[in-house]
Amino acid sequence: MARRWTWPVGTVFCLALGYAAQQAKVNFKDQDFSLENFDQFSATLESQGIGFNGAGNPLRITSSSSGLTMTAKKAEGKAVRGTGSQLFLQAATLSGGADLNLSSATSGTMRLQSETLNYTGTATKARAEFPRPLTLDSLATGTTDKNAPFSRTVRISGSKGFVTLALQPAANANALRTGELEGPVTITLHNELKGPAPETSDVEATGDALRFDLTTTPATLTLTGNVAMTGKGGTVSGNVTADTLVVTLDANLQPTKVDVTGSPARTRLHQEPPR
Amino acid sequence: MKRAAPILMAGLVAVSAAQQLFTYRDRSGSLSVQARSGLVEQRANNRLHLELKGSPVVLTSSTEGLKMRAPSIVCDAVSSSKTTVQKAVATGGLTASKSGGGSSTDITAGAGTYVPGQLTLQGAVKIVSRSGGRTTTITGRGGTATLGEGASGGLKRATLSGPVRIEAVQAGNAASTVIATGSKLDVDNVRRVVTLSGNVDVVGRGTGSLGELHGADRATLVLNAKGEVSSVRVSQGASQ
Repeated sequence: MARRWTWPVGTVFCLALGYAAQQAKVNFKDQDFSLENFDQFSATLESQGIGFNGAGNPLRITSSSSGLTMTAKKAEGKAVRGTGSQLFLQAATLSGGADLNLSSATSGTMRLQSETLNYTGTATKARAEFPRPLTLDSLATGTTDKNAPFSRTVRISGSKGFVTLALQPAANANALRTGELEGPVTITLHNELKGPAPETSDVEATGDALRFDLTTTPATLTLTGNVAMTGKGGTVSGNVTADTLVVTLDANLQPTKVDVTGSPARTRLHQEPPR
Repeated sequence: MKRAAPILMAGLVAVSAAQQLFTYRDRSGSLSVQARSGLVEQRANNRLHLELKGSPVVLTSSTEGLKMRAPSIVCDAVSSSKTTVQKAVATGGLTASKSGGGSSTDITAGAGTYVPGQLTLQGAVKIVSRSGGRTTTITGRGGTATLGEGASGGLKRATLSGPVRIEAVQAGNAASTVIATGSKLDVDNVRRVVTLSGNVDVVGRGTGSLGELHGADRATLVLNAKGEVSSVRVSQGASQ
């Protein structure tokens, strides 16, 4: 007799627990800015913005107009009103598996992952600092200046560092702007050029430190300290070991030139002019 | 002085149609009554007992700065130099108006009991407070309202059970309002805070509003001197 009542009572109890758990989340939204899925939350809302602190599993911070989404277990931050009373994230510290995603129709997607992330920004640009090991993954597609379709994936990892981002990049501009990482640093770059003359190129590089600047023309990527690079296909192919390696990139982040400095420089490198 | 025998003013009970108006005013003019029918009884020790029915009864006390309207009011008061209401029980739908200190408050409820400084409310409650050109509206079910002393105080405090709702103007943005709902509400006009608890939602309406927040355990609306919402503090879980 007791068994006949156990499963419906148990089912109702579990449903009630699930319902209660569902009801306990705090969500905030103002135009295209939102804070979601907080189990613990405290905040002050004022005309000029919101200061918040909380935890979720995971919590989520979104700015739709910027294509920015961040998730983590804990977050503390502040969003303020800019043009048109739109909220933008001015500062935030995320911890417990911080994950920053930036996507746009023009510049592709980018993902930054680390245990902790310190974010500062305006409505149009941001700086993300990582005091602990981080990984950056980027996927972009587009067409070259010769109208050849291409896709490009980049993965960068380091022990700590920072990157700066454009939140609303212009067409064919990079969301990733500048950055510095401490090592050991690993870079993996894969390019696919489609069209009448398809081509695939891969670059793998390691070093003690990385500095890149994609805002200049040409863009550059500088690896220093115990540098090793392997290139296959494309403009640069071969092996490099050096103290310093400077890779010059075109607008599509294709390597066009490699400058090597230091000893021992045991290098076997084949370099062709850009197509 | 010998104990005066109670004088039953039964002659004032109206037996004709509803249009007949029954009025009473004490000698000091501090208590006045309008009703369709009524019983006013002078008892020992300057005590006054009134049983009133009307459409509605209007009971005005200038001593308390209070006006009560209801189909039925039973009131006990004390008359000395001025008449002071000791207890008034209103049934069949109550509206109480309290003004003072530059503000006014209208309270409606299914029924209510007034004792000096406090109204206990039953049924659907609505409190409309006006101050500095701003209007704040609160609704709930049952609770208490603590009123300012005498003719100089408005609403000091109110506690209502839910579901509760408050709508107030957002400070610095008269075109926007803040609407908060929950299970319980506590208004403290001395500290200028309104606290809601129990599955609280806070929604801003209008351009430049505070946004929308859902699912908090607790929210505190901080008011400025005009009764406008200058900020909202929200908490949920261990972050409180």
